[in-house]
Amino acid sequence: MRELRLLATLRLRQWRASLVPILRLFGYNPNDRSIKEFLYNLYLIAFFVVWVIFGTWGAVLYQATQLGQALTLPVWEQLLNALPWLLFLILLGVMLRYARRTPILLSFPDIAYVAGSPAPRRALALVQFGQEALQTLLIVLPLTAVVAVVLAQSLPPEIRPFASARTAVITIPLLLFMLSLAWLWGVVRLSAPGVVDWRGYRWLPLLLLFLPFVWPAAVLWPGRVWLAALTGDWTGGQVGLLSLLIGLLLAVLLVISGRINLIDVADESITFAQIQALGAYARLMPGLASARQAIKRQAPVAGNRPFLHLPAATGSQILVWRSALALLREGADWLILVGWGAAFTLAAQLILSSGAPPEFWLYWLLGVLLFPPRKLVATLRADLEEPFLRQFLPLPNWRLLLADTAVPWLLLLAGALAVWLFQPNISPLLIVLVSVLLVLCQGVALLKVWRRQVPYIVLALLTLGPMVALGVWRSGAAALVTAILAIGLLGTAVVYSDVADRVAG
Amino acid sequence: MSDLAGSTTPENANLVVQALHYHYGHSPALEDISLTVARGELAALVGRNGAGKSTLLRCIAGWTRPTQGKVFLNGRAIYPNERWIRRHIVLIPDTPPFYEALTAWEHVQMVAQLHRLTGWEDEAEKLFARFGLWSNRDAFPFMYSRGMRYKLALCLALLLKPALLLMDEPLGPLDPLSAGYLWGEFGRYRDQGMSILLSSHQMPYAVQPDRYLVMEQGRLLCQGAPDELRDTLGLTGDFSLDTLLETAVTTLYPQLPPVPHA
Repeated sequence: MRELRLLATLRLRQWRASLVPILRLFGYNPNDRSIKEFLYNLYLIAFFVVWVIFGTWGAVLYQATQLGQALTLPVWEQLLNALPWLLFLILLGVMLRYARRTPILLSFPDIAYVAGSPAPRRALALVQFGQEALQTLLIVLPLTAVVAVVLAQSLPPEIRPFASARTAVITIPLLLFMLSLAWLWGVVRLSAPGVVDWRGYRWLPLLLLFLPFVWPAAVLWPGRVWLAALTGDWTGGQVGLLSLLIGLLLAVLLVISGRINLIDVADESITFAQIQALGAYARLMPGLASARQAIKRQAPVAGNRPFLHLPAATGSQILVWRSALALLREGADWLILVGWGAAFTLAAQLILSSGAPPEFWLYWLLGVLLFPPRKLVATLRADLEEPFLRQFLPLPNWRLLLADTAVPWLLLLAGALAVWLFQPNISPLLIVLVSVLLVLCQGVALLKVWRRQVPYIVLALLTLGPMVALGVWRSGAAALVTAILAIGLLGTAVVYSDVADRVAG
Repeated sequence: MSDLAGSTTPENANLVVQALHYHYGHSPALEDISLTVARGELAALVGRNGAGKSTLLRCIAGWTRPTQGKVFLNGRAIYPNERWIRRHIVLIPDTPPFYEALTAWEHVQMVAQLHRLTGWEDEAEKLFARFGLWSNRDAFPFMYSRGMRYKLALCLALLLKPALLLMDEPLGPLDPLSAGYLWGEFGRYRDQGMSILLSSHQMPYAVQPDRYLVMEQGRLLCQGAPDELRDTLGLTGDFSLDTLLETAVTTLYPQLPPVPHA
């Protein structure tokens, strides 16, 4: 118990320490104990509460209500049917993740001082589990609330009140259930000497994909409990069974985690530790962000023997093959591209079929801009960022862009077209144009054009914004012309980009 | 400085740098650098830390655009011909980076096939074997040591046989055997017309480059063959790098006019 408290305090302090650099950006100074600083901190808290909680959260809920009211009954029913499957797929994804790498992640100081200490392993596992559950809840609960608000609008008025609160309440045990199941899967691997090196174990959760065909009620049960909470049909029996399962899973987890091999945990935590060592600004500072990305790219490659080989193609064809090989070797990143194309096409179709107000197209656009598929230009970035590597590529920038982005672009398009084949009520031209513009915007942002470097977000807003706005409020033809003009302009910028300027140290 | 200029004339020079300046913002990093390197010549750029050696190499390679001045390779200006120089100049920095998803051998394969080289496998195999990389050819370069990475970069460069090979501190990361082999190989490539300009704080035992270029505080103090420098700077016997550097810095640097806006 003493170790548990000690480790929990350590984690809390580490968490607070990681927040300080971010808070410093807002002027917070942890070393200043003056009244002036105290008042400033109060002001910061008040600002955060008013602006984020009342302002932003209120606006988000208002838009969610609007979207919910715009949903037609068939779309609403489709969403309700899809939700249990979505939860099942999320569970499968988390299980696959923990079957590949340890759920207990250690930083370098943790490896040196915690893993090497006589503290019980189950205490370490429990503290880390608690931390992950809390962090995940902080993200999942607001998301759940928004989804619940959207779906609740189609419910009869008498059960609509508190629908969001009910789902938030049931989300907590559901998340604990899913997380403990996935953790158990990961911890068993780390506790059994023969299993840790068995590569087949990481793919075993995929067998669960057959379960819906054999016993659908069991697989879709968590999602149905969530829906029952939404519609107010949940029962004490469901909550009791869920609590019992969580208790059982946590008890088994505690017993097994006492046998974890911390050498394996430390070994598998190296990538996490390296990224942690870059510090809190690693995401914000360009140099550190590149190092962070390089560490992430190396991780899936380092543990594997090189599979597949470059063919005997010559000229720029070899670059296309290289980009395909890199995508396949760097883990499941290619799936993200397919998923991105599918998700944004699906979202576009949902907006269209539900007859949602025009501002939802702007939210869609914002999603495209803020979460672009980074892998689309990952190979191009690698070629351009290092002048040492660029000097071996005797191609102009535009040919390099074409060769490096062809395969990822096709993968993205495959995802989009797969959705379109099932629900062809939106032109595939939209996703084709948007993806071409994304490639060009990200590509141009990597280059210097006429000695200027324009950030990606500015380029994307300038080109994608008018296209979508025209498409929403005026005519599709005007949007098409805008997109073609933007493609022409960005293409010209790539052709006239300057290599020496870009690579200037 | 003209009295200390080497015997290379612009007519037989492979590389010509004319009045090159480079400023980091307002602070000058390179001031009025003019030099030549002849075809098949091996020149060593020496100077203390921060003298501007790496910046000069980057400007020559086209990685950094000079604030002022011109660089010619075989009579052709570098800056309007960036694509052309990628076939004729290779610079190896002190810590070369590589692609994460390609093995060492695949790096060579990609570059060779991209340049449509024929018979590259034999040449690459020989280079890998000589540099001791053959048994690790299927490993990813990010798992290599610094010296092994430098050797892989050398394999890539030597496979392309550029007209001008620039190397930043090549002898630091290399083991003595590989350094000796590299120095021996230089002779073969120079016979084929390759010019080599390297920056270094050390030379393999008992060897001298064809020409030294001594830098200090972003300025070129002197350039010339070892014999010429021996006469001009009053050095004796087989002088060492630190003797050359100390003599040049103490005697020539104070004579230079101050940088106008420094």
